[in-house]
Amino acid sequence: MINDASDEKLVEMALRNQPDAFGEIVRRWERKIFALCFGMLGRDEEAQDATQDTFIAAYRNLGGFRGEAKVSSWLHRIAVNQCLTKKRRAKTRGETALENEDGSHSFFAPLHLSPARQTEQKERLKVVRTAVNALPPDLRQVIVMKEFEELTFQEIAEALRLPLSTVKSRLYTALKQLKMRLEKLPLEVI
Amino acid sequence: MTNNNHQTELSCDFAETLVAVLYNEATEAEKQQFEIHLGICAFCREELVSLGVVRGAVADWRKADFDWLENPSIILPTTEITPAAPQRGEKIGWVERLRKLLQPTEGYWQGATAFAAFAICVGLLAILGYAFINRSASSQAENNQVAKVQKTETPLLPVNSPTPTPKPVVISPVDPQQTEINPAPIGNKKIKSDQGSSKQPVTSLKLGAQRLPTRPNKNPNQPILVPPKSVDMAVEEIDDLEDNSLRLSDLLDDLTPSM
Repeated sequence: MINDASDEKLVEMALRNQPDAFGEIVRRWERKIFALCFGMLGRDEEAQDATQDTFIAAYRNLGGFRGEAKVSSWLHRIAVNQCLTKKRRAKTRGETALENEDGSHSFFAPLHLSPARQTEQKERLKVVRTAVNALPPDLRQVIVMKEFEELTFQEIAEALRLPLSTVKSRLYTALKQLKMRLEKLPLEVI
Repeated sequence: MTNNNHQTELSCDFAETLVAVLYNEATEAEKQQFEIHLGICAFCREELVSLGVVRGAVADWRKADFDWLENPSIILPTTEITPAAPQRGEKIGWVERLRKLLQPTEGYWQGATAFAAFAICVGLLAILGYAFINRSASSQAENNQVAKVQKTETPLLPVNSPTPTPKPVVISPVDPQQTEINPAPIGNKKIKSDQGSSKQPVTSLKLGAQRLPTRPNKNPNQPILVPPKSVDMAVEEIDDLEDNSLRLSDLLDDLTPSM
């Protein structure tokens, strides 16, 4: 019964203190929320912490969910806020997530490529991470939702409470800025 | 680089359609219209290709750094879910507020116990205060009554008027024809009032405190006359004294052990 229930129904069941209901919500959305946090923060450990904090915050504020929006949109808003808070704290501490990442954890090193080509590939990914991290938060969250979570424009608009046209224009601007930043960087990525 | 449908490089009317086509979310009508536009706009053709490459670069980053990651283990708190506080501007009826107020929560019973103890203390204080106020009011009423009686007996004097100095009580010889008493020894029960046996006048008589009139004497030269007690009253008091002494002696007799 829990597997077939909608997200909103699961919230109602969780409010009636059915223990498995919120667990099912977590199971459904943890991958996408984790992807969003990873795209926003750029580090595995910080993304895991942000995902954990997102679901804890949602659980504690479950009584405040009024059903005006989808549960997924509600979770995305919480996750975006958690990521922005962590980014601000990291900035206060003088840390930058993506710049310090050297890409050594990347598994994206196809064996058929030569060592020189693999090194080039790592450098290319590092440039992309740096360029995404340099985007303003409102542009970054849109492109991360699209590329990492693979949400539709309508889902992004609901999650961020934005008009559909605004989402499209922001995504266009984000891609344009990324292109410009990648062109300025020494590595030829395009 | 302008034409009918493409104003400038930085503000193309087809930017949103371009993104929708890039992510394959454009409608059929949008696709047809954009294809027509691409035939006449070289900028949008280049833009579509270059942004597609950028999109591919971001997707490569995701595949390289994220897709192989496992989901984090989410540990939820064990506390129960409580309804959230109402948002700003939201109106809640008094019935709902009362229901929420009486709903048992984490510290409900502690709060209820503390409130009950506080209410009991307040009740006790109220009872004590009420009793104290009643006692004060009754004593005040008594004082007012006494003051009223005294006021009727003693006229108020003006503040500026000199306080009348108490005059010495002068007991003048009483007319022998008014009162005569037989100087029989006290202790003898027989006290006779014999008018003919003794004609000596009584100069003083101390048979108890006699209240002097509090009214100031208007004529200081006129001596104050203390009306003597009647002979019958004096005899009764003497009888009472003798009766008391007899009773004490009886008690002493009773206390002494009989041999």
